[in-house]
Amino acid sequence: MDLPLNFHHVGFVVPGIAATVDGFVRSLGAQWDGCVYEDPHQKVKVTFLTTRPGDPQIELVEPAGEDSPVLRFLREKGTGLHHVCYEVEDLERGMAAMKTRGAIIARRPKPAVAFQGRRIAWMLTAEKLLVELLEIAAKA
Amino acid sequence: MDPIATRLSNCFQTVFPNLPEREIPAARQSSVAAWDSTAAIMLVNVIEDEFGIQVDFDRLAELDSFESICQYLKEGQAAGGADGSAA
Repeated sequence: MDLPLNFHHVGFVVPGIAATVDGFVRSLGAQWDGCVYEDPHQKVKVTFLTTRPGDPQIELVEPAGEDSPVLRFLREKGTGLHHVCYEVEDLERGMAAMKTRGAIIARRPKPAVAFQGRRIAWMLTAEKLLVELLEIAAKA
Repeated sequence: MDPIATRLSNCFQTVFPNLPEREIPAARQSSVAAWDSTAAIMLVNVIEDEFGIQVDFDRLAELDSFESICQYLKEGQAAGGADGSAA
């Protein structure tokens, strides 16, 4: 099964967005719209930086609460690159395609606040690369 | 060990091959160095395959020991899960 993956963003875990975003803007010469989304499903706060319109973005990810799945990452590995995100036409087909390539499910599909309710799912490749799949269109 | 615990122990052996079998019943995330966030995801996938269930990933944080996972599986079975537990 083959399915095109469109590179959307990379996720970078930080302990706090407010304390780190200005540094990223400065270092990358990036644009920041000031929007911070809190997602109760994912238990994170996220914001996006753009270096050039149309290019993949940088997502800063902050744990929201003691049961946030990224809090463990932060404790184990500290601030750092966390995942890559690809857009797919159909989430279930995208997950199935990745499974045929040896990936396993890390979190099943859920709507994401930062993407206006479009669904995301998480996969872990055999190389232990965490991949977020983002469905292109929101499901009615 | 009861049948569920035995099957769960096999799952642990798959994910943590260096963990001595006798230490598995007492295994906890805090005491098994190899039990990091990646291993936790792998363990859930192996358990799902073994028991034919879907584990609720939102409960990963509380499934932090052999004992708590075993209890989760038994509760699922008691609630009518097909072969152990269900999300």
